[in-house]
Amino acid sequence: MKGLLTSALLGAQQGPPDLQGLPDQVMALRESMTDLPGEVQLLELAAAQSLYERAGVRPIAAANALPLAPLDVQECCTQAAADLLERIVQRGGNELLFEWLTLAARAKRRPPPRLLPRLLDLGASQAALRRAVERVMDARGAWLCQFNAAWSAPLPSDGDADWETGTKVQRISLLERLRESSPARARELIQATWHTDPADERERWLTALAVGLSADDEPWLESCLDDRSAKVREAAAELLARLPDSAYVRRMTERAQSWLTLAAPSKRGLLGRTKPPQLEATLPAEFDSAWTRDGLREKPAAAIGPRQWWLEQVLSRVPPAVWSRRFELSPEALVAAAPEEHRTLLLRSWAAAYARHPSAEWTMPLFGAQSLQPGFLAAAPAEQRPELVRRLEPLGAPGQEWALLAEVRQAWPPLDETTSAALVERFGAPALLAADAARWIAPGSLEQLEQRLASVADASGKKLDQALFEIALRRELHQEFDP
Amino acid sequence: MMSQPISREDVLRLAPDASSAKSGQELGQDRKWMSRGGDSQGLWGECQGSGKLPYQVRVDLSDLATKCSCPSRKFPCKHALGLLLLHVEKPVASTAPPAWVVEWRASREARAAQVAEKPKRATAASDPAASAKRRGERWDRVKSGLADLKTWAEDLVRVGIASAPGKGFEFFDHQARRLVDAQAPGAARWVRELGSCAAAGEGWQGPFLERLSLLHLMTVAAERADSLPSTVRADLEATLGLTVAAAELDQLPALRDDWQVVSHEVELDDRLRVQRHWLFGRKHRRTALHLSFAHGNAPLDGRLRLGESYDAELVFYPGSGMRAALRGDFAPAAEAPWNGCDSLAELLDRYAHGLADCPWLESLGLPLVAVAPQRGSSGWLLCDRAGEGLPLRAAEPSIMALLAVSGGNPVDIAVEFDGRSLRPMCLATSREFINLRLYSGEGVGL
Repeated sequence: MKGLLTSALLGAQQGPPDLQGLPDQVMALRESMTDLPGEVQLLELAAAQSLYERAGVRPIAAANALPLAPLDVQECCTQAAADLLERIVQRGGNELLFEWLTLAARAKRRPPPRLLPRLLDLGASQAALRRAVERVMDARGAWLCQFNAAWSAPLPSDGDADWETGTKVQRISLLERLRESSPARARELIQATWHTDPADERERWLTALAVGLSADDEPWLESCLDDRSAKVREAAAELLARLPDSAYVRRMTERAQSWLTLAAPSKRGLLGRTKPPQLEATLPAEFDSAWTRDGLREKPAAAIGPRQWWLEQVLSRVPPAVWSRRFELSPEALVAAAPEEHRTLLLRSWAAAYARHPSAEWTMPLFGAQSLQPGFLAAAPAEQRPELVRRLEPLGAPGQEWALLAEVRQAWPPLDETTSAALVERFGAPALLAADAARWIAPGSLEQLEQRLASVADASGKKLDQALFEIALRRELHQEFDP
Repeated sequence: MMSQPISREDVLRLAPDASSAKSGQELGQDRKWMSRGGDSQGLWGECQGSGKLPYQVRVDLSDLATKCSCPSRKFPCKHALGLLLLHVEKPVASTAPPAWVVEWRASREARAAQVAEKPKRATAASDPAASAKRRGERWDRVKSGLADLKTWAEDLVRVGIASAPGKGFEFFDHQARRLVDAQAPGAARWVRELGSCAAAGEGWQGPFLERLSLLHLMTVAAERADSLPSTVRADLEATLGLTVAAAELDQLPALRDDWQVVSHEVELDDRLRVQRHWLFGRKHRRTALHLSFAHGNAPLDGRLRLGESYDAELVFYPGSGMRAALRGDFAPAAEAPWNGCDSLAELLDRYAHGLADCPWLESLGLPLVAVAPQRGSSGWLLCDRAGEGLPLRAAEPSIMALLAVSGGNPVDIAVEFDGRSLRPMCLATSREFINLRLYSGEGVGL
């Protein structure tokens, strides 16, 4: 066809068709065409040649034998579980997909092979999803990955080479994973390139040390307080502030010593009752330049006086337990003893200190006494969460309830059963609906949530249909994997 | 008609689009239904919608026709899908249908009786001479359209086809529309596909010239239509898109066999949905292509299910082609193992014979037994036990599903061959039939 194709591309007006390579059988036709115009000859020969080629296609042999996939180790999931997976994939969205993959991995079951390409495609764009798929894909999946570059592209792995050559995102993900298994190794990696990495990256590496933070990190962090960059100093200070036995926290404690004192016990009142103890707060007189090294700022970030600001910064870095020990007062008594004049300031500082140094006996006293500080919920120990949920201030507007639910969801992933039950109990159906609780509430509370939502007056809402459908899917899912 | 109870997948396949499928699933919950009933013939239910009155939904289980009082223009609507899905999960005990269901059934029966009557009247009334005259007139229009096409094609080759990609969509679409006006919609489709060839990028030249030359062959054949042997003429008419009257089909003999549905695919051609099933007869080992059409959101024929075998009579359309229609009622055949060819040489042989009969043969669907994916020098192959292979169509997403399910081992699979490469259609495993057309990224219902 090659000669004919060249002639056709150039145009029949350029001359008679090039007949090179045409077989005798096609050439034989040409004898009856001599008086036809060139373009007609060309088209008819091309038609004949096309038929000749297609009718004569011969089978070809494989280049090299394809290695067979090794046998899978795990058993395939049930047909019902496979159907659920298919429905979840069709539906889109990650929550249910992660749930399926996690449950399957726990039950040691694999998805049916026909769904592997779709799962690997989804994982190709998201590392976390890909890891979840890799945990269940078994030998067949691993074998399949070799045929698609997007499925087998290396994820940031644990090697040093990746630290030296990886992108910023890869390096962060490497640090975060290493901190879970060998925190010292992660710190050494950071140190290896510390002097050549730019300041904003150094700051980011330090932030990653929040995972697996321990006293072993202290000497290195302390030395970072002398870094040229203020951002790096602040990041190091933030980490040191969370180590209760660090020299840093000792310095803060010493600074605060003289500012917070117990008022002299007053005389007995008329009826002979002891007056409750009172705290006295003294605001620092001036900003000590040594504080800068510890990441404190002279200029207030919020609309408060500078002296209040200095006090707040220092207090919020002193573990609350220090005060209970020093004044021999329970957290409840201390909260009650906060002086009227600086009450808000003190409680806010203690709540911030609590977020850095969680302590169960301080949760409840501080919880009701302050507006919810960032990090407070996340610091609360698991066993106190249901109680916290029950005590969450009832908020009027559904939008605010929704925001509160969103905060809870973010603070406590994955949500445990008791807390879930408390949430469903405590929040109204509209807020639960708006915050997509159907996707993230613990499985044991799904039935309760379903009843709650089903009582909604406007039963025709699209959002409600979706939520109830998702609840049904999740209930089936858990039924299937752990009946 | 249905051998097994209808499955979730069957229902989702009816969905006209993905959003209907999604809403349908959400409506498949008990609480959306104020009442629900069913008997051997069909289902009905009242669904709480956004309006005051519930929607009344009716389904006929014999052909999955549906009727709903909702204003949706989609067929089936999400309420009907929801009712069917709920039925799959929680069938209700048989009850007597309410009046609004009885009425619907009566009106459907009346309409069916009318339709059954019509062809008889039409044949009785039609005068063979008048019918021949109409056909002659149509042929005149087709011939003039094709003469026009001939000049167009020759001009293109005279100046050189290198200019074709630069001519744009309009150049081809305009010619295609003229052919539609000339009542040759089949030729119009070939011209549109010629336009796609021109726009296909690298390597477009060969397929373009091939298609153009075969279009030229149509024009030459049409000039001599009256002197062509009757099968060739019938093939030409089918290729050009001239329809065959039902009455004419009725005159033709039927072939009874256990026909297995080995592929299921729905293609969208503008507003027309074309459902293609390849069938393979167990006794006579013939392949047949069954087509059904639906305009817009009208429902497609839901009677044939992938992998099922039916004891049915097929009437092959005039000519040498594989297109066939079902005649009369048919029943599911006994379950039997996957049946097909175990040699790719046989597939090539069948294709060559088909091509010898009709040069415009586009594709041949065939079930294969025990073939395995292999790597060729430039892409994937499917190889039979003798080690002979044919290329799988390049960049075909279903190849990955084929690899995943087979693990490299021989599998039973239906393919479509176009003279160059194979397109995987359906995989038969010991526990299911996997429709690979749904794994191509654009399948309806998945």
